Amino acid sequence: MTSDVQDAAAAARVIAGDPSAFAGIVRRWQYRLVNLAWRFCRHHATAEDMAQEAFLKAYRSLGSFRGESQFSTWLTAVALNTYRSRLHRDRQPWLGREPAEPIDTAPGPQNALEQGQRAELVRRAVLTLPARYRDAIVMYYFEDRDIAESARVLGIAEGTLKAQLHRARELLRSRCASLGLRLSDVQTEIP
Amino acid sequence: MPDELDEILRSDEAIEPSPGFASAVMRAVYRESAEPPTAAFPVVPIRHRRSRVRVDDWVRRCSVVPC
Repeated sequence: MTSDVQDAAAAARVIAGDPSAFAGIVRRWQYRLVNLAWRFCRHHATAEDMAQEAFLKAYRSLGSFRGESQFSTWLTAVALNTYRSRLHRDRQPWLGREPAEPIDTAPGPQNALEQGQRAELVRRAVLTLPARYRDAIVMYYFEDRDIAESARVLGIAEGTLKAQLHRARELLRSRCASLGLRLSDVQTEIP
Repeated sequence: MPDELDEILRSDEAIEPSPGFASAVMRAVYRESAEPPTAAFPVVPIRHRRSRVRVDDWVRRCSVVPC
């Protein structure tokens, strides 16, 4: 039985009045939902708190899952909406706390920054983008989905997503430049 | 050939949920399911004041019309 079929069966049991069936959905999805939240806040405790909120929201709205899309698409969209609302509500106060490792922001030659520190700065810069560009980057790159699936979760047309990704990359390069980070200029075509 | 930005965005690290995360979610789910459903908001039909005034006005005007 595929994960989507298992999830749909569990959802049916929950709707029929068995909340314990939701445990299977939580077990199968905790890793993805916590990591999706982590992409939006880069703070472990906050990511788990956001993921719990998303699971509860999904539990409350399971009745709205009609099986027209895959369960994975539906749940990811619920989580994405929950995280967007949370980011809008909290204004990302945790951003800047708990870096993966201390980031050396002292002035100096570009290559003085470790590669990992550079990468972390770029990933945090994604969170400063306008919401639609941030969401496009998170869904397409961090979640490693293809254009069609990312567009479905975001609820936009594929062409719109491609345009948003193009603009997001431009903005990100500009933000990185203002942080003193120079990235190689090879332009990648979004398929 | 992927550029540096692509490589950085695609190679993000993953985190592991805490060991008690799933249990904490399920405790919250059971709490939620144990709560009584929210009572429906009481809807009381309210007579529209403006329409009543209009009707009253119409009655008054009718009553003063000479036969």
